[in-house]
Order: sequence, then structure tokens, then C-alpha cells
Amino acid sequence: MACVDRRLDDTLILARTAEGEACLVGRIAAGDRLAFEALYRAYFPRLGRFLQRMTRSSALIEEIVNDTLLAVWRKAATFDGSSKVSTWIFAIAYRRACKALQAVDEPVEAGGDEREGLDADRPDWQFERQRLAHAVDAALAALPLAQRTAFQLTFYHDMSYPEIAEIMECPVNTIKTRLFHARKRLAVLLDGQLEGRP
Amino acid sequence: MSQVDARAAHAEAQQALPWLANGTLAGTELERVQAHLQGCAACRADLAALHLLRAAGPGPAPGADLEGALARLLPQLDAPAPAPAPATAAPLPPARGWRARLAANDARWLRVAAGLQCGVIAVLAALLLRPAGGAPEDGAYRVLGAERGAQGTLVVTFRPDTPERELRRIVLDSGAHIAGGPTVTGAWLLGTAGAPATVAARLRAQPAVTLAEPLAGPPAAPPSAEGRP
Repeated sequence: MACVDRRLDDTLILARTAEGEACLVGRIAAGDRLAFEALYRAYFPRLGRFLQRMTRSSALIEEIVNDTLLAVWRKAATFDGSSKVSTWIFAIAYRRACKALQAVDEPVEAGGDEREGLDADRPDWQFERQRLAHAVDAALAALPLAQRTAFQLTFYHDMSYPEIAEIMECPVNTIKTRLFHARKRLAVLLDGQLEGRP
Repeated sequence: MSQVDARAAHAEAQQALPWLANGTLAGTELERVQAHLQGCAACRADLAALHLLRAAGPGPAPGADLEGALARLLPQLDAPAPAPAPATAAPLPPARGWRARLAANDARWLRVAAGLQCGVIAVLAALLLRPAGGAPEDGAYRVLGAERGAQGTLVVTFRPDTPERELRRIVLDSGAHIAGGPTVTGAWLLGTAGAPATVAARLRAQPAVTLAEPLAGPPAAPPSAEGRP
């Protein structure tokens, strides 16, 4: 068992770089379950954070992540390396999420409201930071899905605009415009909370 | 740099700022945006706000259970992949009611309807643009004085004492019909399907006819009285 864990740890290291991920996908195409598990463990939290902005249902998030990675397992042989592995996987997840959300017709709630009052009067910086995070969370939830997706792929998944355009299947200028409008809207929703901070 | 160039550089920088903030901007675009930022306090302030936004997220990790989800998925890896046909059919909701299919937002039949409309519009446009030459002449409306309508008509005068019955007989025998008249000078206008000159000759053969001349066609020989100086 310890041996398997060590092999898994070694394989997990591969998931830290783009080249390593491509290597994992190659091994998955050959039916390597260990490589699949390593990729799964690397992407579960990333996709979870991504999907969390689309649905608050943990069960639905798990279902979409599993659907996505099952597609990766089955289609690994078709991955040609023309894009990054992350772009490929996020594109699958985005399509599956759109389909799943359409099917359940689930409204995306503004998150964080119930957390607002917890630390109401703590003036320390840690709290300020946390409060801003909650405010950003709630403001993001108010954006249209397309703007929110482009925003979070940029800021919380560090993707370039060509990658985001590939994931969302639209021209790069559309991505730029979506993000421009998302920023304007967030500035209004956050109403000066981003000004005058270090 | 002109004012227009400066405005364009500012617009470009504004759109590129998110990717400058996440470090994925590269090449000449990166150089241009960085150069613009050196002289633009507004863009620098926006970039600072974007760094703050970036630091504020991502939100708390979801309560999803990695181990549980992975345990559910692993047995599915051995299951055969669904056949391609059902997979492609999957996006189309099966057995939808006719009300749903007729809904205005159903793209499938909307595309067909829009295509048919385009076809009808194209046919109507073609009819509108078609040259008018194809219309049958026989059906066209003509006034008596119109040039083509006057073709084959003659002018004829009768002796003043010719009875109306005799007048009708002469006209019918000559193969013509009365198209108008009498005019103030007592002349009648006749129409004919035949050659006006032949009809005029037949008419002149009648003692009751004092004048019979075709109005159109090759110019008839001028009456002897008119040819005199």
C-alpha cells in the first residue's frame, strides 16, 4: 500500500506542470489508472472552485467533475496536444456544467450572505481581507454566467485570453469585452471597496 | 504620439489589464501595455484594484468530497463508453411535446421557417424585378387614341341620307366594326382585324361611302383635293 502511495505521489508531481499533465494524459490514454488518479486529484479542487461559481450544490459539483474526468479517461487518446491539458479539461467541464445547469434549471445564488454577519465588528486586516473576499464572491454571483466564467478563469485560474476563448468557444475579442464589462459591473457592485487599499 | 494613438493605446491597455495582472500577457502586447502604464495613472490604479480582486479570491473551497467522488467514479472507468449514436442524440431532448416544439425559441423549426420565408421573399423579389415585356399584349388596356390601339382603324364618312341600317351593313360587310363616332364632321372611326387598306377599298366600293381612309400603317395616297397647291 505504501508502495502504491509513493508511486501515486510521484505521479502527482507530474500534475504540477503543463508538460507533466500532457504526459499524464498520454499514460491515461494507455489505460494507466494511477495517472488518472493523479490527474483527478489535481483537478478535483481546481474544477470544484471553478464550478462553485456556477452552482452551490456540492453533489452537482461532484457529478460534473466526475463527468468531466470520465470524459478525459475515455477521450485521452484524442488529446493531440494542440492546447494545454488545462484548457482541454476546463472546456469539457464548462460544457458539461452549462448542460447540467440547463437541465436542473438551478438559479445561482449570491453566496456569502449568510457569512456576512459572523465577524461583523473585527477591525483587523485579516477580517477586512475576508470581508472583501465575501463581497467579491457575492458580486461575482451577480454577474451573467459568461462574464463570471471569463472573470474567474482569468483571475483565479490564471488563464490567458486565447485559452479562455478556446474553453468558452468564442472569439478572443468577445472574452476581452466580457471581462471589460464584468470589471465595470464589479466596480459598481463593490462600490469603492477596492479603492485606497494596498 | 498623437491624441488618437494615445486613446487607442489606453483602450488596448484597459482591455489587456486582467491578463497583465495574471501574468499571461506576452510579446509585443505586453511591451505596449507596460509602456502605456508608465504614463497612465488611471491604468496603474485599475491594475492595483485588479491585483486586489485577484487576492480576494478564490472563495472558500467547496464542500465537495474528493475521496467519495473518486470512489464512485473508479468503477465507471471499466464500463464501456456509450455508443456514439446515442451520444450525439443526447443533446436533443427526447419525446418533446408538440407545444414545446412549436415554442418560439425552438431553433430547429425556426431555422426551417426562416429558410422558407427567405425562399418566398426571393421569388417575390424576382417577380418584382422581372422585365414587363412578357405580359400578353391582348390583355393590355388600351385607349382609343393610343398609338398601338389605333392600329387598324379607319375613318369613314357616309352620304348624309344613308339610313343607319344600311350604314351598319356596309361596315359589317367590309369586315370592320364601329369603334367611334360620329364626329362633329359626321365621320365614323372603324376598327378592323384585317388590313386597313383592303377594308378601305371595300368601303370605297360602296356608293353610300364618301370617304374611307386608314388612320395607321403605310401612308395612304393623299386625297386628290389635299395634294393640290
